Amino acid sequence: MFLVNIKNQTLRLITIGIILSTTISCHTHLVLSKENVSQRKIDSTIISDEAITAYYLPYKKSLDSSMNAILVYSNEELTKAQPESKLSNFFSDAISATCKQRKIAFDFALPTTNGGIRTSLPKGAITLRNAFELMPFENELVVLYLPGSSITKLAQFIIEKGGQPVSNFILEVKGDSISTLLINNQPLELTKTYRVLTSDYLANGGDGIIAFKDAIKKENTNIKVRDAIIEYMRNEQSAGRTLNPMLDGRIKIEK
Amino acid sequence: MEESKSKSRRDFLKKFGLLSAGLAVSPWISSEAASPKIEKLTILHTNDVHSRIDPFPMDGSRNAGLGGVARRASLISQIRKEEEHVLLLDAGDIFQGTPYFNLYGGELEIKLMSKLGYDAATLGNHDFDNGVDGFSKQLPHANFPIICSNYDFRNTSLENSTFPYKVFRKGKLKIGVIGIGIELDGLVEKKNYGETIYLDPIIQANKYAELLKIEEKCDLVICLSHLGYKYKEQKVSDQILAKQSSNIDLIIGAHTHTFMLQPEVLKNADGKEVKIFQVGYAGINLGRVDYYFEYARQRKTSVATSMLISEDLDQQV
Repeated sequence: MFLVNIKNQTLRLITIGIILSTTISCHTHLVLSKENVSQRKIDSTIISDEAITAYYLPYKKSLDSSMNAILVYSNEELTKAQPESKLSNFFSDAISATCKQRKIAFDFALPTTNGGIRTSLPKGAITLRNAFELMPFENELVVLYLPGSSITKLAQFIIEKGGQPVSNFILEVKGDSISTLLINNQPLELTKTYRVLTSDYLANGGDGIIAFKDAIKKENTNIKVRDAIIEYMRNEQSAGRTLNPMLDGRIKIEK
Repeated sequence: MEESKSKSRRDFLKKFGLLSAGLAVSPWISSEAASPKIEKLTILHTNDVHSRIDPFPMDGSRNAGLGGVARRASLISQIRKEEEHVLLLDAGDIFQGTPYFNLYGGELEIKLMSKLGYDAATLGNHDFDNGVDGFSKQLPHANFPIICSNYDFRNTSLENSTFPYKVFRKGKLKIGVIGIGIELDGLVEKKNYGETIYLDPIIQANKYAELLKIEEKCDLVICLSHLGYKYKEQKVSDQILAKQSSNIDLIIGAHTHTFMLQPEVLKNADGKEVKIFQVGYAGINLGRVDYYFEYARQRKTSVATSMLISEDLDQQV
């Protein structure tokens, strides 16, 4: 009996201890009990906050006055896709055309990566705003002199990324091997030096094109990538043409 | 022995009814049981807004008519009317993408975020597009903190201008927020990031998350991340961060412009759940996480998660 009594007293102390600790925990601890995760699409069913619209109206008016200028018309909406797309071919060919007209010497072009094409172009009127949104960056075009042996490395980069915007460069891959690699419609010569038209961003290591680190020479053009596109659009419009880029199988990757 | 011990304990408890009686008669515990106190917190978030101030024009393209800062503003004010405790956060790439940035250098984006009442943001790679100086020039227009836990801005114009973490108090809740940026080399030109030093995102995230959860006793730790959701290659991403993290509850992602239909729930380094959520780009969606906290009787409480996802979500990744 004596022993049992002691046990009981010990137990009582323990029990009081439990109640106290529960009390403290109740008093001080907030515990996460439920979460709801959701998202709301911002569309026309939401009425705009007029104070906000009014606040930025002066900025908008000034911007619209320059950016709504129509540069050219497109027969269809141009969107991004890989390995090539009408948009990537347009981007690369437009820049090549402007630079050729400006007498800049180069063998082929890779003026941006696919990730550098920031938006699609709509069907119909293409405005200066569209050109800025397609190529918002202030990058300039440069010509890099690459040893022929580095072109294979560049081709590997294009393959790994699933295709990149190029002009005057034909690349066909079957399985693990390159079956066709043509520059200016001529097979690659490993001992030759090739001039690639690209952006200062890519030439300086942007997007990790390691082949560009092998460049033996760099020439600045002092032409912004965006300005080369705008110039092409304006020239097409002046010549009475619309944008009508084609898919021509310049990059084919078969697994 | 164990059996008889527990039996005698049960007998004892039955006899004195100490636990149940104690709980029942304790005045403040019973009052709490009658009206359980719940603290609700609403997190609202955007990522990669990219200077998209007007809605996308009605030109027949994929996102035509979507987004718009004035609509986002009215949605946020509506939610603030309905909810007492709201935190509005952005995971970076505020800048670049429309001529608003080319013409005004990001001034309008930051001024509008201040007007909308953003509580904090972290930096994305495109926030460096006019250089570190280009961002610090717009910083006076921000009435909210820029949180960067893994960029060392010493010897740049952003030195002492950003915060490695912030603690927000909402009602009785303490919320810790950290900000993790992406590696700048190879993504941003050296002339633009200048002397900024990129620190290991996982080490920095865990360091500050531990400080917030353990020392600061935050009820919730949120990581604003510009690492990107996931990659084919072994590049650090939100998924990798989540798995190697401790003490982070929610990763609000960015950079990859991922339209997630629902958050991904992963187990962190301690086997605890961590959520990743990212809502596309350009202010097309406003993300929302509602947390309900209760004063629990036991410290361990099972966590229920319910999903409310709007119907017509974009599938673009």
